[in-house]
Amino acid sequence: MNLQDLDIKEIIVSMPDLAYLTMRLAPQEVGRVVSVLYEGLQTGLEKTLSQNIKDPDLAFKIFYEEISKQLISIETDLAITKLTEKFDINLFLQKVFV
Amino acid sequence: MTDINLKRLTSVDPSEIFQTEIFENIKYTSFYFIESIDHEGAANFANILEKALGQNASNNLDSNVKYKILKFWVLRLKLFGFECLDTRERINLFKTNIVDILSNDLDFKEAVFRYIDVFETPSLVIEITKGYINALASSQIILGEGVAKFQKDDFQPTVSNWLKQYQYSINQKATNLKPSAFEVINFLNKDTNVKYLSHSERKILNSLLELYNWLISPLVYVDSKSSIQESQYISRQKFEIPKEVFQSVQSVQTHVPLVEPVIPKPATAKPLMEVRDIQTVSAPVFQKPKEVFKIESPPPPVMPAKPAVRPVNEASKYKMMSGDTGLPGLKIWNNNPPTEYKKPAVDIDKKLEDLKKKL
Repeated sequence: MNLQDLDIKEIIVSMPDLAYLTMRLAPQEVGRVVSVLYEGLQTGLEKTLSQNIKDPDLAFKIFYEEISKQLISIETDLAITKLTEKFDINLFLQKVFV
Repeated sequence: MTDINLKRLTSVDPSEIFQTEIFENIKYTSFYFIESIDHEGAANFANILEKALGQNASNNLDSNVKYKILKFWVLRLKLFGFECLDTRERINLFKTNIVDILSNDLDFKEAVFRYIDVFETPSLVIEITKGYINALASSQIILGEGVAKFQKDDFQPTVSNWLKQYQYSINQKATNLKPSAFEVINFLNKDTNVKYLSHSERKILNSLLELYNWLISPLVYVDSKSSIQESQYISRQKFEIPKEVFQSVQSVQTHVPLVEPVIPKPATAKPLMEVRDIQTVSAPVFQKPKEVFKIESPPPPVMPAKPAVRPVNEASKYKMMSGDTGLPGLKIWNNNPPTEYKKPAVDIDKKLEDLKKKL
């Protein structure tokens, strides 16, 4: 699956409560959040495909872990932490894959 | 980049500040100060931005949201450059912006800690935080939208009044312990006025009380550090060798045989150099330590293959000293060595007589 055409920022902004938080951040910060989410999603996807995982719960767990790992790496201050706290990975995956 | 923006910002019309391009540019520049860890620049930019923002008189929803966001950046920058603000500005943050700061999830405690951390005297730190506590205690900022509900109970939900209520609940317990998270939870669950607060207001009040608790005793870390330093154990152990070092030294001592110098007792003393011949002196035996550890030690002194030959005149001196008895005399001397060396007295009178005879 090619994730390059995915507009992750658009997906984030479409989530409840996240539009304002994303708008509040500086352009550099938004870019950073988008890139780490992209990385987490890509790694999660590679793992689920290589392990041939068909159980949606297990797949979610893997994606959650990978995205969380990436999000933790950008917790520079509370402004970003707030956004990551409210970030709904399940909703994110639904928007991407369903 | 920042200079242009600063100049533009000071001359920009308040109505233009919400234009997407300028709005994004302001955020970009603001974050630039944070990313480049420019505390002073951040504080200056925050003040300029605050002036440029002024009071928002617009009824436009988009402008209101952007105004709110730029206010958030003013506070974020002020907290980042907290140590570069003047005292009045710092107090003002506590007095007038406390609810905005806490509702925007900004880390006030971190900013204050960074500022007070540079002071070495605890009394000075307490003096500063007392000023902040007083500012909070006199803050008339409203925390609680449903003012009408509170009026029934004759309570005005200002920051000052919430803190008074909280302080009252702490005082009732009459303990000397410093208030902690337990007191905060207890207050939030039991106070009758708290129930009128919304979920988000309750969270803000929680953060406010946590900050208040911390300001009361901001030296938790320093206290524990100083108590360790002042404890009897540390002072007693101060000039002793650390246990680990002592043990390691002991283990080295048990593994490496030390070559102790042989110091003969005066009563049974033997000469360190055994005289086998008048002209030869045996060299002291060098005992090489066993190599248990590969520690590079200075090389042992190079010993001559053959013992050094004593010069003739030296040997004759020795002969004189031993009573001029020749080899048998030396044997006697070796069998009964003197316990202490006595310089043979020179018979000056006899020598003078000999000289007179010669003359």
